Amino acid sequence: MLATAPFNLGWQVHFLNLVATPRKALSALIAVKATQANGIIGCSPRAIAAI
Amino acid sequence: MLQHSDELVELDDQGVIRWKDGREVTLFGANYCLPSASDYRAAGKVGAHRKTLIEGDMAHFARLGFDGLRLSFWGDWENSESEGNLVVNDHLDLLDYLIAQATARGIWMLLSPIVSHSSLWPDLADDPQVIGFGRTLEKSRLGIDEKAIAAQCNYLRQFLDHHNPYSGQALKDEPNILFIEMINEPCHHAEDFAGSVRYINALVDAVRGVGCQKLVFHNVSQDFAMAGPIQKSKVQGSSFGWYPCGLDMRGRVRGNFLPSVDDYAPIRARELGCKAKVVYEFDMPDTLESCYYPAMARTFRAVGAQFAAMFS
Repeated sequence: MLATAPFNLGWQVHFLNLVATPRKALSALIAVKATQANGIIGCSPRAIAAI
Repeated sequence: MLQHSDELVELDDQGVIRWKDGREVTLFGANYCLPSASDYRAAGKVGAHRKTLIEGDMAHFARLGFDGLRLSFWGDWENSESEGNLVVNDHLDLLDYLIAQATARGIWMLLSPIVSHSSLWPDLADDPQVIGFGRTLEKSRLGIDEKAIAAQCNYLRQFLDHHNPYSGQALKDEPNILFIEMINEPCHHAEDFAGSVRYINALVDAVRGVGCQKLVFHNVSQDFAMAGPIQKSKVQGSSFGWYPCGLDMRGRVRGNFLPSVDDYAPIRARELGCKAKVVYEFDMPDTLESCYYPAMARTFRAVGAQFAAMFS
């Protein structure tokens, strides 16, 4: 919830958005691509490199 | 295919969830709980119009590329009474609106309509308006007490039959709700194998009893000894939480946790059988590094989880 993220309410430090936690947000954006990368995701290092 | 219905996804005989055209379902996103409990109150504390917040947050979801949303709805506390009859109020209205907004953004949902944790946490000692069966019945008995099971089933039936005025459909027919996890993080009683199967099946039967054919899940990560009962039951998949460095450590956690997120072995347990797998919550919550989400996503795909929602 963007409106309450600056106040750190509820479960502390768990918010994820482009405004309050941009590094985490971009990490999550990449994770979306990793999730969608059917057929190349596995335990080998080439998986992330192939995204 | 094991399942035939008007639903947009199906479960194949290898436990893989597929879209109707055969593609594997792969969804990533976050939990979002504004309609209920502490998040509902938090939205009020900043003086915000809650529906406007939902619109903005779903736009933000879409901007991040999120296509998966896990909805925990404290209906067992805020939208029911002691026998599980549905109470329609602002919480349910906001859930309806949220479902419609998420659907409009092309977001797919896992819905958990019984949360089983207090809706009063962390800021309220009491609220006389909270009269749901979750409050009046002890959490540890929800899976073993016949009256408690009846209340849950009654609530699930009425909840799924509820008509969403913003989408024009009953919740049981909402196309973008792909998965239902009937209860979030229940107290398990794995030592009672037959009783556990009976409880899970009662919840599944309540969902199917109103004609809902969505894929149904039951939690296993609260007690991995539940793998056997889940495999034996009618439920179609198991749900997992994952916090490799702990949850709410009240301070920054330092270290390189990439080796810790390289595998999530319990998801690969043979005892779970050929059933679907979703991760209802995960995070590396007290780290500042930004490298973990892609690594965790890779692991989810590697171990067969097809939906993952960061918390929260």
